[in-house]
Amino acid sequence: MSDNKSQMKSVEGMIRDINPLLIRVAYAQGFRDEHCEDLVQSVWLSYLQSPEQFKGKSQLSTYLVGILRIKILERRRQNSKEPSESVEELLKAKKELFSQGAWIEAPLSPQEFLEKAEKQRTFEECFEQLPETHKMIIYLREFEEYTTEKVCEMLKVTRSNLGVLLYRAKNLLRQCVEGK
Amino acid sequence: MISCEHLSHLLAKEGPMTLMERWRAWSHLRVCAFCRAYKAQLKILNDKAKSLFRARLSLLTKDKVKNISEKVVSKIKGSI
Repeated sequence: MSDNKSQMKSVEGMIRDINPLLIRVAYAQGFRDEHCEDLVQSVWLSYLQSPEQFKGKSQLSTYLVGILRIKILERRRQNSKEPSESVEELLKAKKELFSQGAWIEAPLSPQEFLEKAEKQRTFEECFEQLPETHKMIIYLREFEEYTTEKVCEMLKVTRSNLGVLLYRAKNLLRQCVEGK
Repeated sequence: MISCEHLSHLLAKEGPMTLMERWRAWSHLRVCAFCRAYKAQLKILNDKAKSLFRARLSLLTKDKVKNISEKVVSKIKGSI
């Protein structure tokens, strides 16, 4: 009995230690209070149902951010008609920007581009249209400035795939803003 | 000289450029207005993304984190 109690205490402690990171990531992805709470709870339930799946190759917090990404994808799919989004599918989806190495369409001037990006909600709308994985990569790599290795561990992608996904994410975002 | 496409990959590259890559990028940007515009666009997007995340996270106070965290702990306790 006391063993169970102390085990529960240690689980609680672990949850309290890691929760701030999970809550922050979910919040940055646009999930507010109850939605954020549900997501974080579902991450823990998923982990606690089969803790043996965590092999200890990375930190537990890193592993759980990976589960959070999957839970976010599931949530978005339930709430909308968004197509499924595996890393493989994202890597396949490629829009040509260049022909024989040269721009097909000239990029807008920085002034024109900035005017579009500053229009109320334009940037946020474009950001929200990105696939969830792209959004998380931009957040983790560009905002939180986690190392490449850490982001690769979190999202379970290779270094070269991370580079491709970040490149695609930035180009999708700029094409959306240019088109507004 | 490298192509615009090659330069676009260098500019969006993961991690810092090597000395040779920096030289190649500089040489290309000196003569290509399109790529200078592209580089400026990436900077604008980066700044806008950071502002968006800052705005979202500014709503997340320490008390709110604690509150959400405690609710999660109590729900987990109730379900295991």
